[in-house]
This record gives sequence, structure tokens and C-alpha cells, in this order.
Amino acid sequence: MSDENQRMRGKRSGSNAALRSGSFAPSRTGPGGPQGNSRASSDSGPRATCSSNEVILERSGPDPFFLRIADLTIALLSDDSDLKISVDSNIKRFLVGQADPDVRIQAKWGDLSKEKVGEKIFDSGGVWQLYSQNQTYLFRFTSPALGSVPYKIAFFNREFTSGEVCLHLPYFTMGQPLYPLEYPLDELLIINLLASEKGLEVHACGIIDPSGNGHLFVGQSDAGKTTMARLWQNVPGIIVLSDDRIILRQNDGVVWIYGTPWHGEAKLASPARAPLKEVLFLQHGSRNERVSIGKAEAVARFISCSFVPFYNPDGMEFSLGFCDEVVKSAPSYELGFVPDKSVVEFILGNKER
Amino acid sequence: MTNNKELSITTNERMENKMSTCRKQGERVQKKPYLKPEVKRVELKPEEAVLGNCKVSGTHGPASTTTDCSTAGTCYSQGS
Repeated sequence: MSDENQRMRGKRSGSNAALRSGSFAPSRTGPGGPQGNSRASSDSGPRATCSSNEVILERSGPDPFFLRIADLTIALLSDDSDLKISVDSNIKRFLVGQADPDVRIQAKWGDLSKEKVGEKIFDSGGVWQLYSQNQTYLFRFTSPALGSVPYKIAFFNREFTSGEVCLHLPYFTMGQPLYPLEYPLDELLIINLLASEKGLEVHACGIIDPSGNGHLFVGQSDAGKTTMARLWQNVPGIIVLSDDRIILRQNDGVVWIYGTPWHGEAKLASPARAPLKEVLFLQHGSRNERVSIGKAEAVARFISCSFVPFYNPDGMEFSLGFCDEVVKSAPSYELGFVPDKSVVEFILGNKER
Repeated sequence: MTNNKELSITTNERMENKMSTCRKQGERVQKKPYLKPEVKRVELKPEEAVLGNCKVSGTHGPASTTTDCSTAGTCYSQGS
């Protein structure tokens, strides 16, 4: 199945309607965006560059984008006419028409040079830190290439049902189309939403087989997720949900796996979902084989490949319990595999071993 | 006071009786083989788990000068 057919099969309704409504305008510019009223560009300071991914849609104005990931809907809008929100081809697959959002986010320009933060809750050791301020969570994003002033901050209420993203204007070019929820903010938002008893995001590749069942290939970096995804990519009747990030949720006792826009090097992403059939922990091997593993070990391996809010005790408790539910709902195996098409035949044709 | 040997015998007798009873009922009693408990260590990669790093640059956050991960908010390798 070609990539295009795969995307069409997994496509959610709404984005076409949005295009027809005239609310969105395809970008006529490539990366970097139009210069527009670039008063910030006259400064000599460091600059944020636009992504190397193609800008597919951009708009400015109060009408929101609606983004649906794993049945969680995010409304993203800006009242600032100088802020053009754009999405790339991966995010576009997850756009839907007007919907009742789970979280509403307002984006705006600002000056973050004097921003005050409250108590630090967590430091990722990388680009983001988390603070608690006035009953809200504040995510602060910095880059050593730009300096000590954050390039972006995001406020959310404790339930993560509403938030605000503020971009430090001097680091950007006015009129530059951008995606305010750019990694890792969108993932952090979803992770925290899921931790409120909704589900779990895992480091995994996921596929839907021709019978409509979901197979989850779990592993940390270099385990072979992208390799595995590429092997399934053009197999008839198969949908690859993602080569890097899968979300799991439970509905009426059934655990479902969902694709996400956060792909790996294979750039495979689909908004489709399927009931979970089996969990396979990837292991490089000299032959294809499934080895059953006990539930306790499966939970431990699962949590080590999950994206959880370590700073949130309630969220951690739920996430651990959810891992337990997942391994109870479907058998877990260690999958030793040979990185060629033989593993596809093995998975599809040898479900009993 | 029953000594240990007698307790052991008594215990074995009880087990034999139980197994005999079960056999009479048509059931086969099988003991699981003893497996010595062992601690298994599962590796956690914290920099991946907290979404702190970029695969392309190999550093924390979008600090690289490559086109995929240059400056603010442009990290598309996403810690894969």
C-alpha cells in the first residue's frame, strides 16, 4: 500500500472541510516563511529558523486549528494577527474540522526577557524545564544557541484543559509562519493529558494487519523500530501507524493503539487506530522468533519505553497501572528478528509461537 | 512437642494423602519446577524518556547547527 493510500485509509474527517471553508491558505513560501513586517530581523541577535519540513498550511486570525491525536482534540488559535500558525504535512494528517476540544491553547508573541517563573518542579536536562506558578504549570524552553532568555514558554492549568503559548519575539521574524506547539511541547501536552487517566505514549512502532489487529513493536532508540516500520511500509493491507511513537488508550476493556504525528526517520505517521493484539519487544537477532515473557518483566520493559510525567506522582501511579492493564490485555513477547521481509511473514503467518 | 523430623514426615504424609485424593478424583497433580528468583535489570534511557534530547545532534535540545535541528523549536528528529 502506497504512503498516500495509507494516509487516506487512516485519515480523520475534517481537514478537507477546513480547506474548503477557506479558513486555511496553502503556504506559497518554503521554509523560513514570508519576511513580512520584520522589525525583529534588524536586530543582530540570534535568530530562530523555521523548520526544514515543508510548511503545508498556515493561517492567522482567531479561528483555531483542531488537532486530534489519539482521540484527544487540541484547539490551537491566536488572536494576534501578526502570528501565523503553520502546520507541516505530518500534523496536517491529524487536523480535523471544528470539534469540542479537550484542551484549548492560545498562542501569542511576547517579550520573555523579564519573565518570572515560580518553583522549579523538573529539569529535563535538555531544552525544557517545568515550573509551578500560581496554580499553573509553566514549561520553559531554552536553547544555548539563542541565549538564556527562553524562546518559548507555555502555561497550562492543572488539568491541562487550557493553556497559553508565548514566543519570544526578538528570536523570531515577524510574520514567520510557525507551529507554536513545536516539539517537544505538543508531546509534553499529550503526555500530561494521557497521564490524567487517559492512556500512555510509548516508544514503539505500530502496525495494523489486514485483519484490523494492532501489533506493537516496542523499543528504545536503535532497537529497530524504524527498520521494522520500513519493512511493513509497502505490504498490502498494512497500515503503519508510526515508526516511533504510539499512544495506547483503553475503551470498554479493549486497549487500542493509535498513530501519532511524531515519527522517526522513516517519517511514517497515521491517525488510525486498532485494538492491540500483541506486544513485541524488539531485539536484534539471527532468526525470527517470539519468546514469551512474564507479565512482571513485560511491565518493567514497557515502562522503560514509555513517556511518562516523572514529576507527577498521580500521573506516574496511573501510568504504571496502565502498563499492567496493557500486559494483561495482550500477550507480550520478546521478538528476535532478522531485518528483512522474512519477519513480516513470520508475524503474519506464525501467530501461535 | 513434635520434632522437626516428625513434622516433616507429617507434612509428607499430608501431601501424599492429598495427592492420593486428587488421583482418586482423576486429577493429576504437577508441581511447577523450582526457578531460582533472579533480579532482572531493565535499562532506562532518561534523556529519551524526558524528551530532552535530539537524535540528530546527539545533544540535549535543539542546539546543533544542522538543518534539521538548528535553533528554536525546529527539532524534527524528536529524540527518536
